[in-house]
Amino acid sequence: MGIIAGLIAGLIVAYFAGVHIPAAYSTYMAVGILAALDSVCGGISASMTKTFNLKIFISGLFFNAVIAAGLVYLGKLLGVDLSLAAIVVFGSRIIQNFAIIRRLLLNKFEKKDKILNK
Amino acid sequence: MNKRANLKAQVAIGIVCAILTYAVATQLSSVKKNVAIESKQAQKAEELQIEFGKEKEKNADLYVQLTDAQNELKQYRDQAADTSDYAKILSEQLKRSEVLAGLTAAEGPGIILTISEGNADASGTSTLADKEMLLIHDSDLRLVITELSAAGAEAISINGQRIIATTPIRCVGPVINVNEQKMAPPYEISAIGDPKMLEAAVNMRAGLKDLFSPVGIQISVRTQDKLTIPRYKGTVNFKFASSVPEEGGGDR
Repeated sequence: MGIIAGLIAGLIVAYFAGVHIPAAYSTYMAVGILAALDSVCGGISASMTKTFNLKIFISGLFFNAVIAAGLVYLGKLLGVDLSLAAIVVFGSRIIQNFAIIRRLLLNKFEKKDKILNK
Repeated sequence: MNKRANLKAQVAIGIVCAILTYAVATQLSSVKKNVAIESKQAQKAEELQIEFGKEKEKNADLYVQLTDAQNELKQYRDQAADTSDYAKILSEQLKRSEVLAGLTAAEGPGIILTISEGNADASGTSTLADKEMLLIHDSDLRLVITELSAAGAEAISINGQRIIATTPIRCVGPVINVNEQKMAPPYEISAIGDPKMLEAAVNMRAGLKDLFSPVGIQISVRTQDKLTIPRYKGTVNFKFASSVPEEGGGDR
């Protein structure tokens, strides 16, 4: 429920108070989006396995975003596109987390009498 | 896991989801806008380029018109000169003034002076100041013009650009503009006058050669029995200056 409410709230805010991001900063924004997406996937799979920890969730979100932005900045200084590193890592983590969520959902629907359902 | 913890997780994930969608939405609209801005700029540059081309064409057309009009004028003058002695004398004077003013091509004996920039590797210089010395500056060209004029040159051109009284010679970035035409080394300076005098102005002690050779600028001169110097290709308009009749005015 929280997920859907959040999605809608974010869309509404963006629609009424959208900010224009200059082209120079769009890479930072993109990496930040990936960090947030990764955190959401991780959070969902953690809450489904009942291992959700708020501190880990919040700190992970912020630190990952900051490190990713730092990597992009460092890459610009060095002339190497280090944002690729952040994109690859976040991408693979997102896919892994979705795989976990998929398995959990399959378990939930197929073996209703056994695990993860009380 | 109790209900409270589950609620906490729901709220936290919900908030991050809100941030996520907000970011995605703004990013999408921004990227769209940025692309639009970029293409607009490219379009603007293209338009300016086209306009520039048109102006250039117009300029060429006008130049053709100008030459036509001048040829016509010349024909009228020749006809007038044929009819009377007085008109003939006037016409002679006019011709001389035109050569002096650079409004007609000039022909006669003279020299061709070629100056080119020194090679930094060959002269073994390494510091920036030394390399700067190897370059030919606008002041160098002006010095050459002045020296040649002092040696009696009657008509001078740099790389085909006739030097007239109002000709500017100045550095614009890495090139030198003469009559608002960009040029780069080597510079070929033609001068009509007494070839011996002009050559001496270059080769004499403390002359142009002695001035340029030590700093690595290469200068060479060759005399010509006959050379042609083109006319000034711009137009001369007097907006502010007008002539003052001289006392006892002799038209010399």
